[in-house]
Amino acid sequence: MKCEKTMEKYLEQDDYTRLPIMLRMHLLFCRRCRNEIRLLSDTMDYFQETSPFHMDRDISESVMNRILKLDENYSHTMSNFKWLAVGSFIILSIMALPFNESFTWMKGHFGGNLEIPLTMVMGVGITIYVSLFAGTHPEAFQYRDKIERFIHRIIP
Amino acid sequence: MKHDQSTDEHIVKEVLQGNTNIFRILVNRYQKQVFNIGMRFLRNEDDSYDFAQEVFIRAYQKLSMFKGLSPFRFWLYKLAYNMGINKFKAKKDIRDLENIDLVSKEKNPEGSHIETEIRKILSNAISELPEPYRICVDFYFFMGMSYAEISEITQIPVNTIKSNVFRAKKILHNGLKGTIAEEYNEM
Repeated sequence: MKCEKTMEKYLEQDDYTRLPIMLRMHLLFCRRCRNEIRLLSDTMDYFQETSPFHMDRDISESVMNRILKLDENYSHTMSNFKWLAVGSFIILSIMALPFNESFTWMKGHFGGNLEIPLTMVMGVGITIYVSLFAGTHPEAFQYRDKIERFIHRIIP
Repeated sequence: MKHDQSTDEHIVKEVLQGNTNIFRILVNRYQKQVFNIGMRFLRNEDDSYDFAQEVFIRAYQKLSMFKGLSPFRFWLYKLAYNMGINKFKAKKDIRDLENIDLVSKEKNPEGSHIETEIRKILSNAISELPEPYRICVDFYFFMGMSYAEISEITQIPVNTIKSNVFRAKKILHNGLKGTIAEEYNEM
């Protein structure tokens, strides 16, 4: 392979970690091409450490200020469908309790006093669920005042 | 800060879970690249600073659309490229690249001189390329992207990118001959 052809082949490459065997063979014996390629390769490595234009101002502060003013955040990681599914599951579980044997089984095992703690457990469960929903969906309550005023107007 | 070493994709996930403040890390990581894309299209520093801010704000707003199919930086560059090309089309104010100084980072007087010379050669190489392909050379030389990756971002066919980068490389190669960089290399 001639020197000129070698350089053409080298310049055509995209991935310089895998050079064709013929090209490598030529470079093994040709000092001139080796030097030229080393210079070109060093130059290209140098470019990757720098940027074409000089940026002397840090924009991160102003970008973050503008983002925080946007009033758009990604705090809702759970879809409304999932919230509804979990809520429905809790309510259905409570409604299903009188129709299954678990209450009787628990009464037999732990005594009649369990009825009160179980109710409390359910109450705590529902309270946690509602609190989490209210905390993560503040926009759901933005019309609360309007609704209250409307109700007061109808029922003074 | 513990997130400084995190991957871009991990940071995106955290931002989507409500940790808005760590988006700053992504801004710090990619502001230079986005600014450079802006400079290539707008040819004006102040406009490019505004452009970079707009890109990051748009990226934040569209973050939930990032599906992680490709690295975050490609997604960001693609967004910046599309916004840049739209602004460029709207502006249509084409000035010569020679009017813009390419950065020179002084390390030592001799090194600085060589770097300035090399940058001048690349600047000339880029200015000889048709307008839309200049940014491809930036993506290739300064951001270390492959032809396929550049094609994905710019939607320009791989062969077109290949031939334009080849032209730039050839001009660079010829330009390096006989420069002090060559003499320095041979020492």
